Amino acid sequence: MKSIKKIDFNLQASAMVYALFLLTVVSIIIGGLFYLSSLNRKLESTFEIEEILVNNSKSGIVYAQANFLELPTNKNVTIRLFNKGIDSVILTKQNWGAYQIITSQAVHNQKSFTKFVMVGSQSKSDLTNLYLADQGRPLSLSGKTKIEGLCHLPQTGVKRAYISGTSYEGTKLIYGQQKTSEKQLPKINSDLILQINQSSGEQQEWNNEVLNYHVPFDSITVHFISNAPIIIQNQNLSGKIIIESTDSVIISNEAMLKDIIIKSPKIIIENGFRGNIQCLATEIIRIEENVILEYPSVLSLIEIQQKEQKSSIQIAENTQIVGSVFLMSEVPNFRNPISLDISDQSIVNGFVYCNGQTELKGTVNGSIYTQSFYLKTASSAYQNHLLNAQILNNLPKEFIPIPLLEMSDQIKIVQWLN
Amino acid sequence: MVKLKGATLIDSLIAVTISAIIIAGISFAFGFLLKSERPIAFYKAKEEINLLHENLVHSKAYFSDTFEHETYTIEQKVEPYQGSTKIWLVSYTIKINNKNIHTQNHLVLNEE
Repeated sequence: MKSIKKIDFNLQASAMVYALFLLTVVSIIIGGLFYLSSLNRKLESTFEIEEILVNNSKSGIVYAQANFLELPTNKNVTIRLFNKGIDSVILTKQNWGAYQIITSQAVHNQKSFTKFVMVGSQSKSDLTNLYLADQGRPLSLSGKTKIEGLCHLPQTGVKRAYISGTSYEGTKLIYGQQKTSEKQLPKINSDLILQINQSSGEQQEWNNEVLNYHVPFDSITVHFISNAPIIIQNQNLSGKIIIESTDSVIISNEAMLKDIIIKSPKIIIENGFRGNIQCLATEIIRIEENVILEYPSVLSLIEIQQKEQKSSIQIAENTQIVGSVFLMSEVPNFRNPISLDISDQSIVNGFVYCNGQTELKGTVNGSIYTQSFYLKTASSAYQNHLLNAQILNNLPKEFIPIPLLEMSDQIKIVQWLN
Repeated sequence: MVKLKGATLIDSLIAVTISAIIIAGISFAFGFLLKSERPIAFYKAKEEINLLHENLVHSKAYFSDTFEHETYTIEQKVEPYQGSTKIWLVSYTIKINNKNIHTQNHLVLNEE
C-alpha cells in the first residue's frame, strides 16, 4: 500500500514540470509573434520616415524655386521646412551648362533622400515668336511661309515677294500680333554667358576605352579633356560629365549621350544621332541629317575671335531639335557675321537667338530672335527674305527655354533628374 | 520507472510566480500592441491624401477643405508659407473618431 501512495505523489510533481515546460514553450511562441509584430511596426515606421523624406525633398525643391535668387551657388544651405518633426533639408544650387540644377536632400538621423531637378526661368519676353532687328529692310515672304504669334518687325514692315518663280501663298502676312523692333536684339543675360564659360570638376584625360559611364548629379563633375580631336563612338555616357576638346568633338550615331555637356571650338554630330546634350562651341556646330536632339538640348556658339571660316551653326535636313539654340559674337564684324542655317524639313522646337544672320528654310516652333534673315537660291541671294519657312506658336506651356534674355524669378522645372 | 522528487510548497510558489510574471508581461505587451496598431481606415485615408494632393497641384485649386468619410475625416488646410505669396503650405490631417491620427505637410509653388 505504501509503495502505491509514493507513485501517486511522484506523478503529481512531474505534472508541474510539464506545466512549466509547456508555459515556456508557449511563451517562446508568443514572444516570437510579438517580436514579429514589433519588427513589422519598426518597418512601418521606417517606411513612414522614408515617405516623409521623399515629401520633404520635393518640398525643398519648391522652397528653392521660390527663393532661387537668394540661394548661393555651389554652397549647401540647411533649412527647417516646417519647424516641427522631421523637416530638415539641405539645398544646393549649381550650374550645369546653360541650365541650373537644384539638389534637395531631406535628412533624418542616418537616413536621407535626395531629389535633383534641372531648372530654367520663364520670362515674359519668351512670349515673342519672331524678333527681327530693324536694319531698315522689310521682311519679305514667299512660297508656303507661315508666321504665327507675336512678331517684332522692322518699321518698314512685312511684304509679299516673288522668289524663284514662287509667290506668297498665305491669306495673311502675319497670323498674329505685330510690334516694332529695335535696331539691336534684346541684350543677352551676361550671367548666363559667364555661367556657360565656367569649367569645373575633376579633370581626366579622355580615353576611348571609357564605354559606359554614369555620374550622378550629387557627385563631383567628371571632366574629360583632350588636346586632340575626340570621337565619341559607341560610348554610353550620362549625368554629370563634361567632354572637352581644344580641337574638335565628333559624335557618331552609335553614341548614347544623356544630360552631358560637350565643349569644343568645333562640334560635329553625325547622321542619325539621337540624344540629349548641351553643345557649347566657339567656332562651328554642324548637325548632320536625321539627328534628333531631345529636350532639353542646347546648341550654343559664342564666337570669341574672328577666323577665316565663318562661325556658324548648321542644321541639316530632317533634323529635330527640342531645346535652345543661340549664337552670339564677342567680336562682332558686320562684314563677316555669325550665321545659323536651318535646312528644309528641319524643326527647332524651342528658343532660337542669333545675333547674326539666319537662313531659315525649315520650321521654328517657338521663338526666334535674329539680327537678319538671308536666303540663298541657285540664282541669287536675298536679305530678310523667307521662302517656305515656318515660325509657329505651338510650343507646350511646359517648355522652359534657357534664361538667355533675362533671369526672371519664375523658376520652372525643366526635368527631374532622378 | 524513474522516480522524480516531489515539489515543495516553495517550488510551487516560485513556479506560480514565474508563470504570473510571464502572463502579466505578455498581457501588457499585447495590450500595447493592440493600442499601437493603426486601423485600416488610416491607410485608406493616406491613399486618399496622395490623390487629393495630386489633384490640388494639377488643378491649382489652393483651398482649405474637409473631406468626411464613414470611418475617417481628412482636413486639408492651405495657407501662405511663412507669409510668402510664392509658396503655399498644404497640411493634411487624418482624424479617426475625432482624434488626430496623422498630419503631413507639403510645400506647393503658387502658380496662379
